[in-house]
Amino acid sequence: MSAALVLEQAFNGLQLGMILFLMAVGVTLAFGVMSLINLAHGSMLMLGAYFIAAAGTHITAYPLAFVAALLLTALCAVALEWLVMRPLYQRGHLDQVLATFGVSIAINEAVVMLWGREAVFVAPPEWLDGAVAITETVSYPLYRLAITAVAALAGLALWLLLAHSRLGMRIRAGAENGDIVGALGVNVRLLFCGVFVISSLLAALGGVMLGPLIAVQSGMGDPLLILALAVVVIGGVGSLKGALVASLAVGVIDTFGRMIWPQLLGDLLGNIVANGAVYLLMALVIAIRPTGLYGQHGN
Amino acid sequence: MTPSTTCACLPWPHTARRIAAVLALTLASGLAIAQAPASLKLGVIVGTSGPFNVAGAEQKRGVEIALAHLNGRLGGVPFEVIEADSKGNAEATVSEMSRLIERDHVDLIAGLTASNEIIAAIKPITDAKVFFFGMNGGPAPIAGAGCSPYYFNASFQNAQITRGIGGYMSAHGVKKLYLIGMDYEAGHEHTDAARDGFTGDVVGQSYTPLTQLDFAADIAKIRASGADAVFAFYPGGPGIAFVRQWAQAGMTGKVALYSNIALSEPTVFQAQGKAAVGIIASGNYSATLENPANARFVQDFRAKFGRDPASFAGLAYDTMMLIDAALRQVKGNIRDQAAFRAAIEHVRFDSVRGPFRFGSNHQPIQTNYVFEVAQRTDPGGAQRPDAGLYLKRVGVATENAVDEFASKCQMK
Repeated sequence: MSAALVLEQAFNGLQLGMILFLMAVGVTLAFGVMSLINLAHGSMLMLGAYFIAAAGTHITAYPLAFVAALLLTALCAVALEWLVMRPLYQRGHLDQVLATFGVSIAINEAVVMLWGREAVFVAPPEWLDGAVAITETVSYPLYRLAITAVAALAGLALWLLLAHSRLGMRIRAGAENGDIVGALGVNVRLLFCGVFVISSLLAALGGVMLGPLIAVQSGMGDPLLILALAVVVIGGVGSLKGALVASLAVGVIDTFGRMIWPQLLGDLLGNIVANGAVYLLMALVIAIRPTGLYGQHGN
Repeated sequence: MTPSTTCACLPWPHTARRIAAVLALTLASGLAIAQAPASLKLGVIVGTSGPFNVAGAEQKRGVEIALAHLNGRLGGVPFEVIEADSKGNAEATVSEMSRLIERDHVDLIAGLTASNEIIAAIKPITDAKVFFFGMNGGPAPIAGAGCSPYYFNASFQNAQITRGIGGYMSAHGVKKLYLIGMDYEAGHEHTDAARDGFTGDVVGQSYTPLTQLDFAADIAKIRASGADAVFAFYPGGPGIAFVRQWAQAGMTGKVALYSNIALSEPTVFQAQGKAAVGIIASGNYSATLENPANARFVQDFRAKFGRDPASFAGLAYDTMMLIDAALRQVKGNIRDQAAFRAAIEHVRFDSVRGPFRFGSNHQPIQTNYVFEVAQRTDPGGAQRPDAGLYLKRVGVATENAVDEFASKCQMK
């Protein structure tokens, strides 16, 4: 394994990790604050991707299309929170799973009605279409570097918001005890709506950026949601730090596992281990720490 | 098509016209009874929802064109189509098949989209003694020992559309090959078929999970392996992701990308865009095959849907035309099942894919072509639903080939 390849795979692992983080942080935030399990989270990623496809055909300036796609997703998130999620906060997790799974099917079908079954095309912005030379022989797509950078910035902004702002303080307090925060005069309904929109926006950001890389079609976010759920379980449900650490760990383990296991165990067995590595890690973490790496005990 | 109720064109009064009409009808139906059933019911079952819905919807488009060409008659007999959705899974297939057979009393069934559906359908149709014509895919088990006298595969045996590409790659200077595919039965079947006949070295192989969407790590591995070509089996959504990421990683033109038409077809051309240009793919059908039947089909398909038909549509159309020709042989009479079966086994019709006949195991004997994804030269093509791309015929992988399982089938 050459140094250039290791470096390239490190970039790939970091990028996969950051995309997973954008998904996982929303899942864990909704659970931590509203105690909500949201299986429609993958739909938000899908909506982001479809909206950038639609915006891209009307708006030529990429930054504007980018903002428009996020705004449209935020509008959908507000409607969804108001119509479906709000009554679910007080219900059991099984009800939430059933209802949000239903929502994801409905959104998948709505997308088919609006845009058709065939995948739609999303062009990356031209000024990000090039590649950067990381060694003399290997170059790395500029667009992928940009994804990692934007995802990292989004994570940083979220951290600043939660740890260093009044809104963040309220969100954290709401997560501890929503009733008391409500009694102190904070509009908990509005607060929860805000959290839902933020977590949806993070997923949509992932979708907007993945649009040019993967197939933009109905149900596209669901496989990523499965991986993100594994990440959340590894990191500890409700823990933001856990989501970050587990995302990066899964990204790196998955990427390097694809290289290392086949070399150690041969193509056939190595492939099997590499494909299952994330879930093996999840089983291992649950066996040792049932609440995940950073999960709180007694939750 | 718009009959006028106040027709002044005929000089006789209404009552006389009515009598004439009744007489004509009686005569016509009397003749029909002597030869064939008055009408037929054809069940058409495709996976228009579920994981293969893009393919299923394209099959339906092919059927739609066929219905227009058949003009209400199948093998000379008026017929109606009863639709069903196999949903891409075995359970729905079995229950929908049972509904078609037991409740709707269909005479024949055509369709299915995925191999798992076909495997599930064999027992119901064999038990009920209803002929079934497969429109897409042919899993190995029922091409061989599990073959059924009531199942005819009008599309392709799965590995058949890949076989021969190995020899083609060797003939075109590929020395070091990397195999990659989705980690399920078809992924292994097609990569194994691609290896067959390849005389160089296979320098690596990877099988990725069905849910994987990012192939950056695998593409980096391929580059590091020093391969001068890769055979990749990725149908549908993952195929779009693989092709776009392949181009974005700067691999186009450096490492040749081979596959079969599952990777790149008109249904995914728009989403893949110019990243698909240069892919070499084997397959039994494309819109560019030159024969009169295909010219007519493609022209009408384009007029209706604005792009070239994908193989799912071409094979669905072909299946309908095949049934039509076989029925014509027995004058629409399917009560004598042995005679009808013989008619299907020896069916001759103008297939859109060129020469076609059935082998002893009811699987097609046909030519596997080699295509290259190319860009049309006319301007404005990128705006079309196929992004101006088409499958250019560049060679032949196997000619009039029998699948490898034919000898294992004992048709009872």
